[in-house]
Formats: sequence, C-alpha cells, structure tokens
Amino acid sequence: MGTSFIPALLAIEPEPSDLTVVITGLLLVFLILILLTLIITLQGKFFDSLEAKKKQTKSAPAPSAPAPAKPVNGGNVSAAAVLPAPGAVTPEIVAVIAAAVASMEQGAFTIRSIKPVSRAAQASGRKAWGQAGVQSNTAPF
Amino acid sequence: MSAIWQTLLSIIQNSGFTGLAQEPLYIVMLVVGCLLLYLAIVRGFEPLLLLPIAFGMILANLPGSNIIHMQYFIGVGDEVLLHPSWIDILNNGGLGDMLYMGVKLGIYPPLIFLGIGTMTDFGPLISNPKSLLLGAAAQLGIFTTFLGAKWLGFTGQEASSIGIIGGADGPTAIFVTSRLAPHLLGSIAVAAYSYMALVPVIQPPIMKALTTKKERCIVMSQLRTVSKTEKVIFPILCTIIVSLILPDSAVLVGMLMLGNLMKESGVVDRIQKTAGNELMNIITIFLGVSVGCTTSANTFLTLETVEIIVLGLIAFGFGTAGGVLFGKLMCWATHGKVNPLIGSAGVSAVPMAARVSQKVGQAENPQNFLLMHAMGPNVAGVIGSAVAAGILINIFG
Repeated sequence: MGTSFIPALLAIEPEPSDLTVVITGLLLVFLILILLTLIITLQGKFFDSLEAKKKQTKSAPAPSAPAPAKPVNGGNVSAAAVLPAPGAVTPEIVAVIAAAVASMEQGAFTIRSIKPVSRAAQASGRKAWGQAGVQSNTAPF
Repeated sequence: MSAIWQTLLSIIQNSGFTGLAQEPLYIVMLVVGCLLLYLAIVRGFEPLLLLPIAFGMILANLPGSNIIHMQYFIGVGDEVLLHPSWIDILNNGGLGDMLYMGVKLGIYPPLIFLGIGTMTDFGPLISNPKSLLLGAAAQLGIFTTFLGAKWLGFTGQEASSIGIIGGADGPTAIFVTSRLAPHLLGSIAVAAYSYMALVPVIQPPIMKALTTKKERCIVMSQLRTVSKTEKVIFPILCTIIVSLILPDSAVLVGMLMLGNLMKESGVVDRIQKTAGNELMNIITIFLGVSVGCTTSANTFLTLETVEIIVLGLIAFGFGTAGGVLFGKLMCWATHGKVNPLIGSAGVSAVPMAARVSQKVGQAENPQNFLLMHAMGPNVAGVIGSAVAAGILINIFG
C-alpha cells in the first residue's frame, strides 16, 4: 500500500500556487544574476590586479634611468628658462582660444576671462576633450 | 454559353467576397491589419516586426487564401492537439504553415537572439556588474502581470506568456508563447511590439513620479575600460553558469552569448556579419509574417485580446517601476553614486530604454550623460528576461 500510490501522485503534479510561482521566479532571477555579478566582479578584480602587476614591472626600470641624470643637470637649472606652472593661462593660450572662438563665432565677440577648470570641480572626472566627445556622440539622443 | 456562365459562377462562388459575406469578422481583421500597417509605416512603431506581422494578418484573413491552417497546430475549439499534426501540415499546408514551423519548433527566436548578440556590447555591464541587479529588478513586470492575468482567469501557461510581455523582449515573448499558449501568439506579439515602440511614452512619467529631482541629477562616475579578454570570457562564462542552473534558458542565453562571442573574438568576421545582418533579416521576415498569419477573428477579436493589451501596459509599467525602485535602493546603499533613472533601462528594450534614461537625465541636468551607464542594465535585462522565461517554461512547460 505504501509505495503503490506514489507513482500515481508523481504523475499528477499539482500546479504551484500563484504566489509560489512569483516568489520562486523573482528569487531565482535575483539569485542567478547576483551569482553572475559576483563572478564578473571577481573576474574584473583579477584582471585589474594583472594590469597593476604589468604596470609595476614597466615603471620599475624607468625611474632608475632619469635618477642618474639629475645630479649632472642640477647646476644648470637656475640658468634655464622658467617654464610656466601647469594649468596657468599664458598669452599663447589666450591667443589660441581667441582664434578658435573667432573661427566658430565669425562675428564680433569679446573674451572677458579665461580660467582653467580644475579636475576636482568636474564631477564626471573626464578631461575636457573627453567631455566634448561624449556630448557630441550623445547629442542625437 | 451556359458553360461559360457556370465557370464564371463557380469562380465567383470560390472568391473571397463570398467568404467575407459568410464571415463578416474577416473584414474587421482586415481593418485591424491596415491599422497596424499605419502604425508601423506612418507612426514608425517597430516597423521591422510590425509591418510583416500586420501584412501576415491581412493575408491570413483573406478568405480562401489557405495561407495557414492553425487547426493543424493547435486543434479546433475544445480539441486541443498535444503535438501539431505534421502530416497534414506537409500535405495540405500553405506558406504560412511552412514558415510557422520555425516558430513552433523554437528555431526563429534563438536565431534572432544570435543576431542581437552580435549587436550587443556587454562592456558597460562588465565594467559595472551591479547593473545585473537592475536587470533582475525590472523583471518584476513579468511576475506582477502573471498575477494579474491569473486573477483575470487565464491559465498558468497563458498567464506566463502574457507576463513575458513585461520582459520587453520580442523573441523571448514569442519563444515562451509558442510553447505555452500558441493560441495567444498573435495577440501577445502585437501587444509586445506595440508597447516596445511606446517605451519612450510609457516610461518617463513613471520615472519622474518615483524619483526626486536631486536623484535625477546624480552624475555617475566614469566607467572603467574593459579589456578584450574580459569581453571574450564573459559570454562563455555566462552561458555555462546560467545554462547549468537553468537548462530551459540555455537555448536563448546560449545563442545570445554565441552571437556576442562571435563579435568580441574578432576572428569570425564573416559569419558574425551574416548573423547580425542577412540571417537576422531573413528570420525577421519569416517570424513576422508567420506570427501575423496566426491571428484570426476568433482568437484576436476577443475580450482576451483587450485584457492582454491592458496587462501588457501593466507589465511595462511595473517593470519600469521595479527597475527604478531598485535603482533608488542602490543609490541609497552607495550613498548617492547610482542614478536611479538607469534602473528603468532594465526593461530590455535595447537600446530604446537606455536612450529614455539618457533623455530624462539630460532634461534635468544637461551635463549628465547616462547613456553608457544605462546600457549596462539594458543588456542585463535581456539576460534577466531570458532567465525568467526559462523559469516559467520549467514550471509550466
């Protein structure tokens, strides 16, 4: 008696309840995609560490080359021309910007001020050219 | 003279006009077909699928055309066939019957996924794997619609097929419906593709209602660059893992990832180009025409179709809401690093839903470019809806 009705029961599997389907379905979709997320994150970290190791081996021989050259040129620094600080707006930069604006505007204009934008101020962290590129590529959307 | 008259009479009796007079609902179907053609051609509603579907609808509802015999596939009235009667199809079938075999045998949707895979870039997803969770959350639309459909009296199989509209994935919807509820294929396909075209209309109000202005203005940090090796490993890994856990989704996920691998590997340029262009175009024509041919007055002009259309809207709405709400959760968990608007792109209408995220975000902050960030959840949604399809086929198949 015990085992005779089991095959009959197995043949007629009742459909799971609606709530069971919804909860099981959502749970399984999330679990599978969480698993994929973890695996891809690990893969990303693995490749990042590989890249970091490659960079380390490349940069290690490079600093050793400029170091011996420094003591030789140390005495000539004060005689060399003083280069402007990076990011400073020199007269040459003003001239180039004025020429670029003139070619785009093709009309009367006055440049009132030119200031360098610090990288920290840009939330996106992109350089100006990168930002312009993104802007022109996404403009159709 | 009488012989000529007899011949003319027999031709007139066999003409479609006699059939129209006997069954006036054909005229209604022809009008519906023309309306869908208008939407496809003039309004631009997903014309690549909707035009062949609409024309298939017209061809199948011209009496006497015998282009398709749905009774050979699904039976007539209460007599439901477990398997199509292949001998009848091969002996008496028309063009629609032959083309529909590809739908019934589950050939076309996976091949379309193959083409889609060649056009998909998983880079944004790999660089930000958390997007997969947004793709999962957007599948809420599928399961809430399933509940709604069951509440309206549909069976489990029918409710699953209707629910899959919420995945916003045409091939997945057709794949599931052809297996679980083939008599609803025409209505579900028309609803699915129409709503996909309406994503830019349906999503923005829901996105704005569920987010604050501050959240919409969040600018996300730039994505890291993804190496070619990672892009090659991803499809292989994804296929193996997902197919081992859920074998019913293997064919859809596998073909999607095969197409992507062909693209990313860069060593099979010829077949990659074919899969994404010629093959996909051929299958699109066959699929569209044959799905359109399945629509007939007694299956399309019913209260069920109206219910499916309403449920389809609910599916898209809940899918969008699910993605945005999970995006808000991620925003809170990451202390404001994730813009919740990208959550709505988890609805896998690629790339339309990502563009909508971009537009809504840019309307609030013109310097905000969410497109690439939204592509991650967008393609994750394709994987998510294929997984959901596998689950429903497993339970009700």
